[in-house]
Amino acid sequence: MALAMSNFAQHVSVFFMDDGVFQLLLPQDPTTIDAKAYYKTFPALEFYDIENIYVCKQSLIQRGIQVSQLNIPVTLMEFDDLSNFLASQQHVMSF
Amino acid sequence: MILHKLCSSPFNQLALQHCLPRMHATDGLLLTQDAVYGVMDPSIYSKLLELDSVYVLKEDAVARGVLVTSKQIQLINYAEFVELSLEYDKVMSW
Repeated sequence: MALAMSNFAQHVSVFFMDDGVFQLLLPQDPTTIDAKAYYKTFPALEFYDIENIYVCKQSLIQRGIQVSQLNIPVTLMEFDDLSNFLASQQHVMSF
Repeated sequence: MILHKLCSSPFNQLALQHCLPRMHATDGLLLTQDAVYGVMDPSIYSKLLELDSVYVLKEDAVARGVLVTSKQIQLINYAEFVELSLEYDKVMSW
């Protein structure tokens, strides 16, 4: 959806928070449960000019995840800043 | 002799937190689906290590990139899951 929106020249930001941060965790292998490997599409985001990829710092800390374990470069954001930033967006879609 | 089967993430729902204090010494705990994320919560992880019989469904852990390093926690496949469900008197799904 993010890739599709950027095709229409929309300014897209992607936020990963709470259990959503697990989507970025390596090394994952969703083929063992016949699930789609969404993480493989994340490196494509930058080719669609989606460079605003934000991850909630507190969500990572709670789950003991280091930034080095994530499969794409992201911008870490404090819990409160992320909420404020989310509120400033024109439209929000959650997955 | 109950096998407690969990399927939800402890960061999202409290099933695992509620289950742990209710477990009897002879009970077993099986983490499936998003419940495998339980090993990434430090306070839950330390409680898991105190139990005798903790099982994690290998397919679900590998799919999610969850590493199980302790020998105290046994990685099992679907066939072993079926065997376990017969070994215990009852299976309780949380």
